[in-house]
Amino acid sequence: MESGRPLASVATALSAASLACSAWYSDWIGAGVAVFALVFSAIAVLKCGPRAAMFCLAASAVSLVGTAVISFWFTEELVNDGTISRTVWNFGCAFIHAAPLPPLSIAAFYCIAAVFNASFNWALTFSLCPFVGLGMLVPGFVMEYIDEMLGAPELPNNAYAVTCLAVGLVIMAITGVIVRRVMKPNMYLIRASGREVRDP
Amino acid sequence: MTPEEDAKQRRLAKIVLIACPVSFMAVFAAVTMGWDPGIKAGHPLEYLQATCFLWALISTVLPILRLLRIFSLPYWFAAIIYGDMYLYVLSLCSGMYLNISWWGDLTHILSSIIVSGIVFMVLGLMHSRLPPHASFGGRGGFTAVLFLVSLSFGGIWEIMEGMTDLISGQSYMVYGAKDTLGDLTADLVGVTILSIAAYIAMGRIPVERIIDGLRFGKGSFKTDARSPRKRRFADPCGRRTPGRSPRSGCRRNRPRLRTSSP
Repeated sequence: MESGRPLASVATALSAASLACSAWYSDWIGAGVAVFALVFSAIAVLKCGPRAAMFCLAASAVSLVGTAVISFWFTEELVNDGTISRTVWNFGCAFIHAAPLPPLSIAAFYCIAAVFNASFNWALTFSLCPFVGLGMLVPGFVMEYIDEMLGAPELPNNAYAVTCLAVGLVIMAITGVIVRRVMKPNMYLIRASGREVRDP
Repeated sequence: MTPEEDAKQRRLAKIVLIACPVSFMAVFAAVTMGWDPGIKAGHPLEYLQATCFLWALISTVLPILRLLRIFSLPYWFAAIIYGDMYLYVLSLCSGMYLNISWWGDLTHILSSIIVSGIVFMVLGLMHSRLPPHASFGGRGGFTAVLFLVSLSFGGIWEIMEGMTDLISGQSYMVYGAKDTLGDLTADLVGVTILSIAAYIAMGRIPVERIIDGLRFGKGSFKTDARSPRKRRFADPCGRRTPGRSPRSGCRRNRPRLRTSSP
């Protein structure tokens, strides 16, 4: 198997930068996604091929761009100034946080296959990837909760959390449909050695 | 499964189908007629009534699926699920969620353990029906998928709670952002507990044995012995005594002869 080490190393660096950026601004949902990107990129350096590394790179890059946008441009100060409404800000943040989830969920399947010698066909990937992607948002909320318990300002209402989750669910459902359309006709398998084509 | 086991399960399903909704509606009646610890704690009456009614409906799902031979769970797991339903409804109607600060977190942990258990069952069913070219990659891969998939249901529950309050215009189910974050944290704890337990259990017991009793699809409800009514038509030609030789005249569905090589 061709090594994905160079790409995965870049992905690791980008995801670490994303984690640092989001932690600095206390964007903990972004930080949670960045942690998953970092973990899967690190696994890809050690165990995966270039295709898995590409998915890690895509997820890490999108995560870094997203956390940078939220931390430096699309900040909550826009709502406090009255420039945009809180609803618009909630939806904007939700899309930014959900954007890395599609490549990240596919990277998850590649990494699990590489570490545990699994073999995911189109049915497994299509049925599980929406849940895998949505599940990767949850630890970020836990980090937010811990930060609030330690004295950080609380979220003003529940809408931010529910919007992030709902938008993540919709995006991952669409991702599942796309995964099925790509994997099923081509009979792809995600295996320890990367993407393979099943014998008919 | 033997016909006797099938009959026993069907009897039990009928009992549950009647007893559970009746008991939930009894709580509904009690709340409506003045049993008010939940109302005194701060829950609106209509919220408690809706909860009792909805869980009365939900409690009929599993027995109906069993009677229709579509789906069934192992006894022990179904008992845990029903126990959790009663714990939720009774503790809600007795005001424990608002009177005891940690009660909501505890029940969220328990519920997320049970939901993760359901995910385990479903993944176990998938594992048992996978084609040869697909696999979860042993108990490690199975647990990793279990963990990530189970986490998502905490998020889905919070979406449901948020949408309920949005549509109704009242704060029935959510008590602020910190409540949602606390619930998700409790869900993470519950999922982690079940994932660790599942990993350890799968090291000792095969997945197929853990999910023994889980059935999905009409084929999995077939009984071992043929019923007397079916035996009459066992012969495709409709004869009472099936002919042993395909030369006895009926050509329909004639079994193929196996020929051995010389």
